[in-house]
Amino acid sequence: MMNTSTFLTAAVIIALISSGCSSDSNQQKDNGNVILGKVELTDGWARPGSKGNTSGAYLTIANGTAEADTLRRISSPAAGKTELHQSYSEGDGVSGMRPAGPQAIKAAQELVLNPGGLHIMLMNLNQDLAVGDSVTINLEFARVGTQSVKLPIQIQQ
Amino acid sequence: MKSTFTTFCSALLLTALLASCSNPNVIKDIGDSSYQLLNSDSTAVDFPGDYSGQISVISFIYTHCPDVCPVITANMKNIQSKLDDTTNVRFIEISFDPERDTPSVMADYKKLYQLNDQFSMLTGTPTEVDSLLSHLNIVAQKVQVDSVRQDSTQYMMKHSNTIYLMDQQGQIRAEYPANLVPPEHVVEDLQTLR
Repeated sequence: MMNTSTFLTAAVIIALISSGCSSDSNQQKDNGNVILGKVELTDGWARPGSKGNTSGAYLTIANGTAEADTLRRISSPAAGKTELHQSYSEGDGVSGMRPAGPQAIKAAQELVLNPGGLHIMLMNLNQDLAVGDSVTINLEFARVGTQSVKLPIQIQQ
Repeated sequence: MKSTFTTFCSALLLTALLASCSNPNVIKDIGDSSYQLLNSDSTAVDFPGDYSGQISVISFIYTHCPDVCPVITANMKNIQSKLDDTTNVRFIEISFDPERDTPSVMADYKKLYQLNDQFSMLTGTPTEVDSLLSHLNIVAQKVQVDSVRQDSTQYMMKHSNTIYLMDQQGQIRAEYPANLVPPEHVVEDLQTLR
């Protein structure tokens, strides 16, 4: 028969363990609402560009939270203007690009930005971006808020 | 005797067929044309005359293009690196945005993308460049986008996605989708022009 002190000790241990789990780094708080999981930004890189000109950046955004989120805005201290654009190809061998607007990302889904598709367009660069440098990108999501990531400048092979 | 003649004729026909299969036809001959362009060091270039006697791999870009054009440049570098011998081969990138792509801007692009001296980055006056692009059937249209446009210098472009292979006489011998063609295909065709 478990006595009272043993029961209390066990309860305290369980509470401590539970507390440890709930402060797991895989949770984020947004306006007091606990969001299970997190948004992960991986495989990022950006192209070189000279001051006043343009660069493109790429990464994978994984929505590891339990609910859909929306990438609303993008900014960078290195650029006068930053937007999400979509490259397209027409049937006659002509290519172009257009602004892509906000992007919804379902729970447990990824949004992949890669060459020839969706990309971050860094316009009117206020500094040279050369191989070996890095650039900070701020991604504003509707639910988890702004996430920042530093991307290396690379040349596509 | 008759069978020997038949064999000879068959061999001749086969040789001719093989030659025509492995050697790209002439798509366009610009050998007699002359366009006055500028290299990225601001020196004058007579195109295509200054490249006579060499095989040229030609692509078209604009430096404000952050996505498709760098892929084209990457493919040009890959073609270069796949060649065992680059003697008498030139890699030419022509801007279809001469208003913004001055020689110094093209020089910056060449430096940032680590292109060596086998690359010529050509631009020129809008009239001259437009005339050349038209002659080569290259599409280049300005596209105004509200979110991007802050003044008349802020625009994007809709453009052809093309790599040409030009022989020693200024004849365009092959055309490829610039960002998609496997470099090996260009190298294979290039070898037949040597």
